[in-house]
Amino acid sequence: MSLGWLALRNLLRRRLRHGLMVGALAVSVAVLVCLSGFGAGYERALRAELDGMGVQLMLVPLGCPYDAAARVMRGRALDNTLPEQALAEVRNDPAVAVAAPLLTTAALHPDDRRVDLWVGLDESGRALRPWWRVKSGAAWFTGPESVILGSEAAAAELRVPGDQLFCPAANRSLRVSAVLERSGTSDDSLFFVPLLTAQEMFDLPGRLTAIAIRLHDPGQLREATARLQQIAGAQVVTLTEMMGVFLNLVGSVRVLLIAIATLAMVVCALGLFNTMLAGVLDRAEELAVMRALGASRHHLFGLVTIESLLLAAAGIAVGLPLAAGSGHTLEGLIRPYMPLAPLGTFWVLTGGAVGQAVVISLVMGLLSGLYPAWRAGRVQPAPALKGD
Amino acid sequence: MGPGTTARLAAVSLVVLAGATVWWWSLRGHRNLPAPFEPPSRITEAGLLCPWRDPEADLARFFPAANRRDTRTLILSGRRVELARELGRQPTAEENALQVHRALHDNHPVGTILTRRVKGEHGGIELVLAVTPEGRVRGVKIQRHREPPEVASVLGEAGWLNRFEGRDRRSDWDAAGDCAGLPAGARSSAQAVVEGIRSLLILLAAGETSSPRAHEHHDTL
Repeated sequence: MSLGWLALRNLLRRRLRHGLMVGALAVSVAVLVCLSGFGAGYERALRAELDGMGVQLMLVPLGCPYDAAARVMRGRALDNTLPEQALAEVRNDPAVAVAAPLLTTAALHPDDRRVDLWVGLDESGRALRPWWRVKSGAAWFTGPESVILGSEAAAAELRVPGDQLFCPAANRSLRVSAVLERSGTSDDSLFFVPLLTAQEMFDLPGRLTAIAIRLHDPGQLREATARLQQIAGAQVVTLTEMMGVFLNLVGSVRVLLIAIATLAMVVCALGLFNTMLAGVLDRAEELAVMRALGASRHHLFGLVTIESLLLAAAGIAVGLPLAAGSGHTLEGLIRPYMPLAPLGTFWVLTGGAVGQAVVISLVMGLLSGLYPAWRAGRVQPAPALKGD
Repeated sequence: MGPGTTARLAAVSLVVLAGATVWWWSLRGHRNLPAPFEPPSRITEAGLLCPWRDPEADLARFFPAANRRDTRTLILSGRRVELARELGRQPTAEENALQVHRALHDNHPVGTILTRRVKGEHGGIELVLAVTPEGRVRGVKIQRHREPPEVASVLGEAGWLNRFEGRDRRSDWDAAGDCAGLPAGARSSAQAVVEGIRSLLILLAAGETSSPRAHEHHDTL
């Protein structure tokens, strides 16, 4: 009978004790795999999403750049504005492929406790909104008095193309030219009007709240940023910078989660150590008999080490399917707490995460079994059989 | 199971519980972090129910005796044929369910509040309709609209809204007659209000007889 087979038989003799240990190991492995998968998947999803937005730079008025860029991208109004001349300067830059002016204004209706967000944009803005799909109506504004509604805005106002829509803040009636399909973005609740109309409605002639920019070549980001930064009264925010801020934020949460996973692994290692040591002490007489029948110290050391490794391997075998099955559920639990949750799933079962968990668990199994194995190897047949 | 195993189990459970608590606590602070922008990740497919925006004030105005309210959702999808006959048109998808706010004095119902968004000429008009336990209109309020000032002043006028008091679903509803004295620019929106009130009364009556299928939850004032 080989040592491996003997180790397996020994483990099966105490099914409850070892079953519980395998369960604890499996949970630790699953937690470790899930957390690794979250980190990699989140970063990948965030990058893909930012790439898909089509905007690489935002030119915003002076002030807190992140606040300004965040407000513009969420369709919120800014307190400061840019002069329209800045648009011409941006468009003259050789690196700029598309520069889309935006005028975002919050129209307050205190009596109704309502805030309408109006966005003025021109044809170039459509190029930077790849998620736009017209649900009904014309493909674009049909005239200066037309408005395009996000899906939720249209649903709340019960509007379809051709209907009138009154803007109390500007005392102006507009005609709905199109209703957009639901996109899941802040665009769903916005009212879009031609840029000139927005400037007239809110008495901001020749002013913009931001310019969204796409470059011919993203590799020119640094040079273009340096040139655009020279525009008076404006500052440049790159989405790469913004993403860096988010990833740092997520990274700190991730470090904390990994610390907790490590703690769980350490606790499991101590549990495994305890289980193996208790097993060795319980079986002292049996080990003594084996020694008396000719088993060497190395045989007993190897036997207990193999038992420990087998337990770790069983934990991995149960933990990996557990991780695969529970990753998406865990993602659902975590998603509401994420500062920026990307579209779709951001948990992926990567080979790296699996490999890391396997290696860590086996090393943990090996280390936890070393001392009990050493104790097993030092069992003296005569005293043990006498019960000393 | 030996005492040693039990103790180990308890210890592991405690550590896992402590870890979960620390994890939850550490994430708690991130819940309210403002997302700097919103990528396409928050698609909500729920229909836009008309909210009840000022329940305390409306209850005090229409049912001052009420000291509690509860909210029920009545499912009307099984009554479409009957509803189509009474409404004189096919019920819309939104009319498959009706959210009903009951005003209670202790546990005794003193009336019902319904809300509805109707299509005005210049935007949605949100109605609040107070109904007595007998199914008659106690009062009507326009809680939000987007009408120009000249239309808004007509619609919001107490005299016009008060004319619906005492009516029930079987009353003589003549939208054209109710709007006859109004300026031409306000008639379309006013007719939508009248039709909205009548529809709500019909839906409520139908829903009250379908209540075994209704989903209920309770809010206390």
